[in-house]
Amino acid sequence: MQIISTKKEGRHDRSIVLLLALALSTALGVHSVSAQTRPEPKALLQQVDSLSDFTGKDFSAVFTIVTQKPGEKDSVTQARVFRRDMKKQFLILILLPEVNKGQGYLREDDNVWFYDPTSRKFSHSSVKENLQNTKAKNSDFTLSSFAEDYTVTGMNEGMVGKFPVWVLDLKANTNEVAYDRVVLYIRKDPTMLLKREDYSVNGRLMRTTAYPKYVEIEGKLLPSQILILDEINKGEKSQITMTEQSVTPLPDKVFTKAFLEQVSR
Amino acid sequence: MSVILRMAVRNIREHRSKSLIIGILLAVGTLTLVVGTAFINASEVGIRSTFSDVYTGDIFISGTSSDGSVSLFGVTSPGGMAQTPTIPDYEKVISIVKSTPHLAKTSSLATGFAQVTREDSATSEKASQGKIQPQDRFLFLFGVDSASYWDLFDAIDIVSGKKLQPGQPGLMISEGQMAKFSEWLGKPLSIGDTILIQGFSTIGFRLRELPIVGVFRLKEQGASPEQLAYIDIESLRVMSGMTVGANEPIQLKPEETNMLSTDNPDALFGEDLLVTSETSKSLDVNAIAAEISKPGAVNPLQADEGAWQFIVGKVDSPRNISRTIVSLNQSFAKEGIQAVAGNWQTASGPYGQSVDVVRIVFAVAIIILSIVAIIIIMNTFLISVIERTSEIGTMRAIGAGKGFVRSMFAAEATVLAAVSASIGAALGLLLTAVLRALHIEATNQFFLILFGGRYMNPVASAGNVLMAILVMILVGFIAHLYPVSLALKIQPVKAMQEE
Repeated sequence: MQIISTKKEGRHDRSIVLLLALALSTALGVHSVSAQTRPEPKALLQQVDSLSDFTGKDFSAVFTIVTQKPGEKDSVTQARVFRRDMKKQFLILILLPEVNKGQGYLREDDNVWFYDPTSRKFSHSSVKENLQNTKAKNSDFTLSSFAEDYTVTGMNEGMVGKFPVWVLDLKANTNEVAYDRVVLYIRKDPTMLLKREDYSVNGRLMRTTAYPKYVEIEGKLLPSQILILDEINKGEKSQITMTEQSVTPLPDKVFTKAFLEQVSR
Repeated sequence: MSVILRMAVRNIREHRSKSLIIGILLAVGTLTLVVGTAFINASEVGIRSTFSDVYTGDIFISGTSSDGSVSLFGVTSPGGMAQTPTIPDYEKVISIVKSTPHLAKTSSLATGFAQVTREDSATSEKASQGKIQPQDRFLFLFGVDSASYWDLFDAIDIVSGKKLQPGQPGLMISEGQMAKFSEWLGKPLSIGDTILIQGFSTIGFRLRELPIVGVFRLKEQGASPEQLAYIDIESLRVMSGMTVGANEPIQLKPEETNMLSTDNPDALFGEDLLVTSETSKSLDVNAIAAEISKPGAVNPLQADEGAWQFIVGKVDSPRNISRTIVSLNQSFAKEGIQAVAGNWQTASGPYGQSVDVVRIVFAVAIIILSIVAIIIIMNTFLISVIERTSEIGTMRAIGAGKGFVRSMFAAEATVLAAVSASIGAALGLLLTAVLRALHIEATNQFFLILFGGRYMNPVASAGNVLMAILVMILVGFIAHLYPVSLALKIQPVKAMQEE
């Protein structure tokens, strides 16, 4: 066991944003494309998109986000996420840090409630507004689609570690997305997203995300470990680990304020 | 020398109209300088006293942060919100403070941010159509030690309710906020009503319902943010995560941190990508809720009693501010305490700097005005000297050297400038006195800063008046050099023929 201390570094907010984003898009499915044939780039992109769709199923998992910043203690946020895409519902329960244990976020349609078990109070906000004090915007709560938001400008073959990949160069065709240019490294067989690079408008590499570990659930592939490298502030990185994944149907009461109130401190 | 001086005076009299024009320009320049510096002085003194009277005190003590400078508004860091440090070795710091001479009164406090919120969504629709923006619900919280704070700062008038008493939980908000919150909540608020506030700090969010114990009005506007609200220190500590054990170590599994050691993401793809599925087939949500409800090692409601972020204090005389700060910092360094003492500007942080920016802009405006005055005066001199080209030619023809002519014009310019500047300075002093007597009230934030308080109160010091006179004499002297050197370049014979 490794001992890591929490740091009250404002990253809690960022972690929440990450969680919210993850709560919406985590799944990647297994699709076999022959390594010999060169797939049509747009089709490949649509395939990657379709894999991250969990519609029709309930999903839950525990996410652990550890963020490292040079010269500072690591910050840790752990949360259990429940998701029901059909009804645009999710519930996030904070497990760590200990001081925030039991806090929760419930979304139903455009409403988001924050729950604080220490005062047993809720705070309501609308998705249309900024969520709390974080930089989370509307777009963080909508499912992203590479095929819709980006145009493929280049497709090459390459390697990531020991795996042959298709390298897709994407250019944003809307300013709704966070990054103007995205480079995806997609494993040829089976189709899996291994790495993603995000670039700013002026072509600067902002962020690299690696998906080196997956778990398989009911024919779908889910990244179970993600590493995000901040390319601007070198040395700043986050590891996201997903455990206790489940697609077991959830009782309806999970997505209610009453369920959050069951948690007390 | 006396001959040159006599000739200068005679020439000034002879060219009365031109001398008058230049004289008036110089006098107006001096008057502007005297009045302008009087405003800058007043603004500087006024801002200092306004800030120190309302909330910064003369002396400000905080912990240190590697992320940036610490003020009452937190840490100014490039990355945004960094944690405001608490004062380390608080007991030791307090004993140093108590033993420091001239430091008459002190009080400890901590600050934080919050937003007024509500539990339900029903009234949201109505509010979103209203005029109350999310930023209008923002609170800048001063968690005060009621036992000493009100004695140190007599900055507010209570409109209704009372000031916070020691040990009493609650919130004091301004008149303006009371009205805004009432509108947003759709019901008139009164003393004793509770409001729900959501604190946000580096540790996360915290919701608290607190009673409004007092509504206040600031005696001096302009020095503090409109969102200033007072809260009992216990509630602030809980809301800002200043709780016992908040920084306790967290135990993590190796697989939750194993990738953080790499800088090359490609190196992670050396082995199989698929890990064994950990899928849990059954999920008991009630058991999960019960598990989370179990008391943990940290009680988020147990405030850290000894945690203070700042100590503010007032000295017996403004003269002793600097030496007290130096003395405190020496003591902290000697004891090896990571605390630092500063003045009101340190305490007001970005807010004080923005006020200073307005003052600097005003000073720059005065400098630009002076430069424009010099150019106009130089131009007038040029016309005046050119008109006297034939006189210069005649003087040269009857044997006066270039040096003599230069000295004569220099004396003329200096005498004219000295007399005009003195008159201008006297008028400036008079105008300053009149403006002071008029007791003009500031109508907005800009004028509050410019006036350095609620009323216009310019103060011209002897040093400023003397400086203004000397500057204008210099201006007069410099302004005549170029036109005279131009006139001297013309041959005496040609010069004599000029009309």
